[in-house]
This record gives sequence, C-alpha cells and structure tokens, in this order.
Amino acid sequence: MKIKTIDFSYVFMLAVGIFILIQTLLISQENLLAPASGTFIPFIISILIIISSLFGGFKSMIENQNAAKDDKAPKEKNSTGGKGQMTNVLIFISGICIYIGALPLLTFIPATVLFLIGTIYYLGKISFTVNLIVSATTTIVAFVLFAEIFNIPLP
Amino acid sequence: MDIFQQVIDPFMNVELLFLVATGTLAGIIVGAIPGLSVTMALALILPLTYSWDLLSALAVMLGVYYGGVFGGSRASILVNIPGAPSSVATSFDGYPLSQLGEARLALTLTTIYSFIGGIIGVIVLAAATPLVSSIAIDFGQQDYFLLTMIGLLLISSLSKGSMVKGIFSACIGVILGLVGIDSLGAGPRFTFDTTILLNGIDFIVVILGLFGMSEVLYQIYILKDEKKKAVLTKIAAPSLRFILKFFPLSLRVSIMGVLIGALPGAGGEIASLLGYDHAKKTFKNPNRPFGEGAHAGVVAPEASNNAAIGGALIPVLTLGIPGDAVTAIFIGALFIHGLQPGPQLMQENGELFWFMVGSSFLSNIFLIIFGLLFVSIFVKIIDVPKQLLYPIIAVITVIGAYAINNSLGDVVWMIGFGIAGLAMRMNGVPVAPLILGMILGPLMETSFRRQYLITQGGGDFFLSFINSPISLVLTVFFIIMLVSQTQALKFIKNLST
Repeated sequence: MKIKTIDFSYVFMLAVGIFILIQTLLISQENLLAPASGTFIPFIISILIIISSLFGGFKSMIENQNAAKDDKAPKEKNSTGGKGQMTNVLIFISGICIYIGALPLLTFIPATVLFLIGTIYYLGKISFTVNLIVSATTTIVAFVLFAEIFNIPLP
Repeated sequence: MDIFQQVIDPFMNVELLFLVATGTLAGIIVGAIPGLSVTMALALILPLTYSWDLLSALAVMLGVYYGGVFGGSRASILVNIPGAPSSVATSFDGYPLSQLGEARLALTLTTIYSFIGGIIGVIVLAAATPLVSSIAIDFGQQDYFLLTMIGLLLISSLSKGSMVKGIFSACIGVILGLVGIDSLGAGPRFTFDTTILLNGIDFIVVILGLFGMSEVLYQIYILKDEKKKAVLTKIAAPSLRFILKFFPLSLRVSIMGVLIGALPGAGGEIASLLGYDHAKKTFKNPNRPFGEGAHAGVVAPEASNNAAIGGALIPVLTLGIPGDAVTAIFIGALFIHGLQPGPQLMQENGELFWFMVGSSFLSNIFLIIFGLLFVSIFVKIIDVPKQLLYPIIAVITVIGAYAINNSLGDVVWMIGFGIAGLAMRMNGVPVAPLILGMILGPLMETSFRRQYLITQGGGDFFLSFINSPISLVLTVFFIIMLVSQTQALKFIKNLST
C-alpha cells in the first residue's frame, strides 16, 4: 500500500473522533451510557465520527488504488490554489492578526486604514490613489455607521 | 370594524409609516452586510426604544425584522456569504446564479417571493393564530427530538460530494453546540477546565468565521485562478408568467415556513433549509440542477424564511414563547414596556396584536419597494474588484464579531473558525452541516434526555413516539426521510431487483 493512496482528511477526522471520545470519557460524574446523562449523545457522536471516518477512509483508499491502477488522477482534489496562493492567505491572516493586535494600541481608525492600505496593496492590481481613497472612505463610513449610528463602542 | 381600523392604523399615521419604512430599510442594509445579524440589529435598537412609546418601538423593530431577514439574501447571492443564518440555503443556488450572470434576476425573484412569503406569513399570523398555537403547545419533548432529527437528516442534501464529510461536519457542529454548562446536568462539558467556554460558543462568532472570514480567505486562495466572471444581464422585470411559475411552490414553502416558524426553537434557518429541500424534491423541470443555479432554489428558501417571521410571532404573542433569538428580543421589548406576553396579552391588549399585523403588512410593502429599487445598487457589489472587496469584508466581519460582546476575544475566535472553515473547504468538508448541527444539536439532545427522564426509559420511552397523533405523524415522516435521504432506499431497490 502506497502512502499517497491515503486521504489524510479521513485520518484527521478519525483523530478528531478519538479526541472527542476521550474528552467525553473525561467528563466526570456521569454514567457514560445512561441515555439521560450528559455524555450519552457526545459518546454516540464520537463513535459515529470514528465509524464514518474509517468507512470513508477505506472507501477512498480503494477508489484511489483503483484509480492509480488505471493511471487516473486521484478522484478527490478540491483545492485549486497553489503554493503562491497559500502564501497570500498566510500573509493575509498575519495581516489580520497584526490588525487585531494594533486595534487597542492605535484605535479603530488608524489601525483600519493601515490594514486596508496594506492588504489592498499586497493583493495588487489597484492603484495606490484608489487604494488610499477606498481605505480612508471605508474606514470613515464604517466608523460613522457602527460607532455613531449603531452605538457600537469600537476600540 | 375595530380590528380593521387597528390593522390600518400604521398606514394612516405618518410617523408610524416613517418608522416602519426606516426600520425596513435599516434592516435590509444590516441584513445585507455579512456578519451583521438581524438579532444583533434588534438587540442594538432595543435600548434606543426605552423612551419611545410601545407602538413606535414595535413599528421599527418589525421593520428591522422583516428587512433584516430579507436583506440577508443579498450577500448570499452576490458574494456567497449569508447575511443572516436564515439565508444560508439561498446561497446554494443564489451564488451560482450570480456567477452565471443572473444576479439581477436572482435578486428580483427573491424580493418578489420574500414579499409573497412575508404576506402569507402575516395572513396566517392573523387568521390561524389560535389553531397553530394550539398545535405548537401540544408538542412534547419526543416531538422536538423527532423534529430536530429530521432537520439533521438534511445533511445529505447539504453535502456536496462526500456524505461522510458531511456527517463529520454536522457531528462537529453538534459537539460545538454542546460546549459549556450542561443545561440539565449542570456540569461543564468540553470546556477544558477553562472559564471562557462555560457559556458555550457564540453562534454568531461561528457564522462570522465559517461564512465570513473563511470565504474571504478561500477567495484569496483562489484569487489568481481563472474564474468565470459574473456577466450581468438586464433582467430587472421578469415576465408575469415567469414569476407565476413559482407561485405554487412559494405557497407550499410559505405554509411550511409559517408552521416551522411557529415552533419554539425552529426559526427561519430551519424553515429555509426545509423549504429548499422541499423545492429540490418537488419542483419539476428546474432550469438547472439544484446547487448549480436553479431559480426555484432561491425562491423556496426566501419565501419560507420570510413566512417564518409570521409564524415565529404566533407563540410569542399567544404563549409568550420565543420561536428564535429575534422573537426573544421582541418579548424583551414587551417586558420593557410593561406588558406580559402570553394568553393574557391577546385578551387585554388585542389591539396591539392587530397593530403588529398591520405593521407587518406595511413592512412587507416597503420591503418589495426598497428591494426592487435597490437591485442595481446591490448588483454593483459584484463589479467591485475582489482585491478591494475582501479586505473590506474582513474588516466588517471583525467589527461584527467585536460588536457581540465588545470583546477582541470574540474576534480571535471568529478568525480561528475562519481558518478552520478554510481548511474544511480545501479538503472538501462542507461547512453548512456544521451550522445545522450547531443549531439543532443542543435542542435534539435536551429534548431526548428530557423525554427519557419523563418516561423513565424503557418501553414507555419508545411508545411515546407513537402514542399521540403528532408524534406518530412525525415518526412516520422521520422514517420516510431516513429512508429517502440515505442509501437505504437504493439498497432496498437493489434487493428487490
């Protein structure tokens, strides 16, 4: 059996199922299998995840092996982005994290303007003038709408 | 005659007309902004109405309610981010329609059928309140359990691709819904000995993360790929014949929606999902397969969720029981103004009920006016470069998460769910069943355990599922759903041939 025939998403699902089962077992003062207890449904759910992930994993493995024999591409391939796109996502997530960290320090308006200018610039294809205008306008409109009209106390 | 005068009261008073119109427009705008829920909008408006008279407060709140539920479909169709939980089902065919260049048609259709659904809901609210409330009040715990299980069986309809991954997603949703203090046993569950999880995980945070942030991240992930650009056709006013084609379907799903809305705990979210499922099963010769841009796929959930509003108000006004979070805020508003929702309210303040019926009619009229007038404005969202749109949506989701408790902690949770949602999408795990599981899971568990405790287990527990007409009907319906939604039917057919 080649390792590439395993769909690791099912392995992850199995791990999650086992994790939930362990967490259910750790819930104290409960009779695990008593239907009226707080552990019964979580126990059933964890078993359902484990069984379905094993079923799905084996099914996927057989399908992938058959596909490999017939020199076909693997059946399940959902992602369409590549390494570059993943870098974009990671940088965008980092930008959001920095933005969240900066909110209490810089307050809403400067932090949001900087975040928008930075992310729009990074994603490209927008002129810097348009970037500046959109970032500033969006921030002001958002501030007026949420802080002034909806009375949300923004940081 | 008195009743008629009370119903048309909001139509004759300029101030009330203005308040309903403002509330409806504000609701549409808030509902259309991804991450801002109608629940949050009403919760924010409630403190503002402390000093208002009751009729003005109710006029605005009803406007926001109808407008917000309707507005949620705008973002579902245009950017595949449901503006409200009840608009999740609208995105299944709404977004594909948008991608196929029929966004304008989808927005027009949803406006017309939201109006029709809303009006049907109001008519049922006005005419059948005693009947529906008497059915809802007779529901036992076993009936709620069956109802939630039927809802969970919809997973197979929601799961595109792997059924196993759909089951996994729903199971995770159920577990997330159970995090926190056990409502019956009072002990903590899945809290990892921390206090921050004792109150559970906020549903709005999960919605914002899975449908807001993860959508932004996923779109950035595929940003440079070749993608079919939405081409807008000028279909502002479809023919009357085309519109009427969906009328029988809208009638069925609206009646379904109003009945589901009347059940405590089952609001617009479940109504729209069941409405979509009903359309998928019964609508013959759709223009395209469901999930790929079927017109009936946007008509059914929108008619159903707007009709559910009328249904949700029935138990609130007659029994004092909220159908969902929004109607719970309505009950709060009535308390603030010194009224006790329940059977006494109808007897002592009957005029209030008829005023609400009138305001609801009016709100639906404003809904169709604003909805059709602003089609072009909403469509223009598609033309905004994605490089501009997604950072802006990210900021709005951050604000939406922050606004729940004025806490950056909720924002961190939302981003966590966003990253999890991205991982799910990249691995073909659907996110919609997770939301369904989170909504239905706690209700399913509580009703199951309560019924088990009431019957003390054993044979009585199983007999309770068939010993009342309501339970029997739901049990038969559940079995039919189980057989039709799973591969059991295929298995039985194979055996017979």
